Amino acid sequence: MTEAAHSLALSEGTPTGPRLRRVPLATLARLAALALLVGLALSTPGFLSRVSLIALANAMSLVGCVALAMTFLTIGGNIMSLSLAATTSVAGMVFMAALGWGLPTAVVLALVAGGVISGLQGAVIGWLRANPIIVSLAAYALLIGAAQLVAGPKVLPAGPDFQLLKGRWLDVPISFLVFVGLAIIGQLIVSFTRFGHELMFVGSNNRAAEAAGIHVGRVTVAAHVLAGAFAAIGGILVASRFGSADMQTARGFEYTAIAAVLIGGTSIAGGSGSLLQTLLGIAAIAVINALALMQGFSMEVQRLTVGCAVLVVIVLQGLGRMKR
Amino acid sequence: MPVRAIGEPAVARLTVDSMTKRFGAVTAIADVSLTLAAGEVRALCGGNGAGKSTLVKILTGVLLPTSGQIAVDGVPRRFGNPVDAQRAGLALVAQELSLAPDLSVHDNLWLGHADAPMRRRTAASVARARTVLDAVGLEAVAVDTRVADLSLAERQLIEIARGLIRNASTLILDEPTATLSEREIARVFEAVRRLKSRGCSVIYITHRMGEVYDLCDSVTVMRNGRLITTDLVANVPRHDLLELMIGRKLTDVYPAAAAPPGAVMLRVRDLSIPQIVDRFSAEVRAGEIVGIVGQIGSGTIETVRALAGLVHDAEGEVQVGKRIMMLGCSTRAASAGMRFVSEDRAAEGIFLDMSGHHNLVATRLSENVKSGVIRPWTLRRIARLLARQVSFDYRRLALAAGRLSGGNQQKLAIGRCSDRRHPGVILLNEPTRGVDMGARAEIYQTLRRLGAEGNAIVMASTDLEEIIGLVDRVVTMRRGRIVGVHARAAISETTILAEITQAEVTA
Repeated sequence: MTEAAHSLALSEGTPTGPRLRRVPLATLARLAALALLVGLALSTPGFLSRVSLIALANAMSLVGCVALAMTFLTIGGNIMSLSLAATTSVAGMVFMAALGWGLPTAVVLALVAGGVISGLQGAVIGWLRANPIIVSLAAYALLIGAAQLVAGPKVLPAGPDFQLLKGRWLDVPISFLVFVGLAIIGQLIVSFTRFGHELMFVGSNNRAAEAAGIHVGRVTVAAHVLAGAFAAIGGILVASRFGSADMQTARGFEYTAIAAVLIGGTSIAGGSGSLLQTLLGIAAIAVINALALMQGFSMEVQRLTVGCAVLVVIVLQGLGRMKR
Repeated sequence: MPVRAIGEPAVARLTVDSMTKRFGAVTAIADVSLTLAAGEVRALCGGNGAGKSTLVKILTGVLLPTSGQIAVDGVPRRFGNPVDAQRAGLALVAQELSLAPDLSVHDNLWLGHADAPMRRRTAASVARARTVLDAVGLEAVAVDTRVADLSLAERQLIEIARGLIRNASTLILDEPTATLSEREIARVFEAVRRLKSRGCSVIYITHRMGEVYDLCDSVTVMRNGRLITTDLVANVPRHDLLELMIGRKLTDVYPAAAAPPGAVMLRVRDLSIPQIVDRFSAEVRAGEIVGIVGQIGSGTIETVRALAGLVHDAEGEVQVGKRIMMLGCSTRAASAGMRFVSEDRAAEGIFLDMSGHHNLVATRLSENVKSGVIRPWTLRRIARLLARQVSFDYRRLALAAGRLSGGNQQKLAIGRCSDRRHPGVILLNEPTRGVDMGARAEIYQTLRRLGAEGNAIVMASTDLEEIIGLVDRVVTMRRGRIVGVHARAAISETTILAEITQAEVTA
């Protein structure tokens, strides 16, 4: 037995050794980035002011919901969805149009809209084994076209209740509370439900998941429904913030969401990831943007910085794979 | 044919002198020395983790040794990269086929050649391709044939020819026959013998005892990163070789069933898959291990896959215990009690980037859930328990499965099938493919134990030695049909071989 164990140790490294070596690279990079951000934040006059922090929280929460939604899809191995921001917008439009029936009804209808739109894509991807990016591209064009045909360029609120969601509680924006709540709920779903575990298996290797008797199609659809619902909440928050809904307000959210997912550390290949990490990822992006703004840098510099951060993450993940 | 004495330096084609490779604190190989004569076929044996792959990587310039020297034809060499090794005349024929299926034979042969012509194709390059094809016995294959249109054995031969086109004087073959049928193996053997007669040296890595004795002149055994012995095959009896490889006494590699089989657990009637399997019927009792044997393409693998619900156009009646199972849906098969271990471990068998914990509980989620909520600590406990049952080192449970050896990965895939409270049918395809002798013995023990717990076990394998040693009953198949069924006492290699090849011998 001892000899067998010895031979394993030779071939596969000691159980603790590789982990000790592997963790620091990614963690160090994170810590360094964090230190840099905190240092910059502290040295930027006015960053820690009430107004600036509220603005930061607001900026994070809208796109943050979409990033959380994207995390589900990424963990499930369907890299990303290009139609998620369009889903967000449509859900916002549904919300605004349905406000006449009261806030609860409007929220439910928006969630259903988001869940159905995204779930249908999930069905095509999960059961027909279609390429997720192509499906989401098709859905994107379809949604943009259909929404504008049906609803016109802009949907105005049918009732005043949305004002509530613009408010603050103890000086914290409601939208931020919703976002953090969603992140926690989402994380609980991933860590502690059967669905969450199955999602990781499917994302890691969907043929092996099928062979192991996991309902691959069903899990994929469920992940999309959940992502759609999360995106819809983002849509509700966006629409409430602007007091109207159209297909423009959430434009470009996909990119930031994907960046946040990757910066947060969810594996591009699927199979692992965390919504709380995505929350940190979106926080990092928001801080970068806010700092750039306050330091007087242009929009281009913000983009450049976020682009570099994503690239660094991808390189780090690649290096991690090579070490294996 | 007598071989020049091993270790005679005057004619040495390849000399490896006190080679050591360390990765940090881990020593992969230590003080390995060997000498290979021109025209010698040397078997290189050893379990996973013995250091074979590390040695091969050093010989092919993929890894730099920590210390030690290599000399080819007496000239000291230092391989900084694979091209250096190629130029020195060493070529690896990889275990996994590395051909580009949509390219022609000609293009594949020249692919990655250090001196590939600037133009894709010249008269000289075609002529050279022709020569090497003839040299490995592929006279019938045209240089323009698409590789996708070739059989598996032909592709393997192309891999060997690719080594030749690089003017290799020493070819390293890494389990070249792992995926081939008996007749195809004969072609590879023939090619190796031709190489030998041309003075080409061969290092032949294999887990199969038979190949060592049929093909090789001498054998080198490695274990735990060290060279254990090198000798002429004639001087090493089979039994000793096995013991040298696993490093302990070979008492019960193939355990027999402890108790007579129980009630019928699996009933299959007229299982058919269009074009592949024709009316397969069988009954398997709890505690019984039934082996399905046939050549590649005979339908054995597909039969097992169909039982696992992974073949969508399969038809027939399948009954697990008292329940009728619907074919064509893996989740229904799983809930009926079927558990499947895939022939393709990396693609379908395990989750490479997930931990051992996760891999072991992949099929066990449903019973540990209370209204959708999972208790991770229960799963952890179960994973530890399962790990102990399949003799998997529990300290490795946190590692990603992709970092483990083939044997350990397979233990994860099989460990997942164990469920004492709900015995079912365990379906395995090629359960020990790419698994070393030591881990094999443990897997056979595990299978017997699973049988004793009331499971019925069905395995398809092309490894006759394993079939003859392990199973209680063997079903032979040819061209999608059952040819014969034999009880353990009546199993012999010659009968099985005759049955699974007969049609092709007479044809």
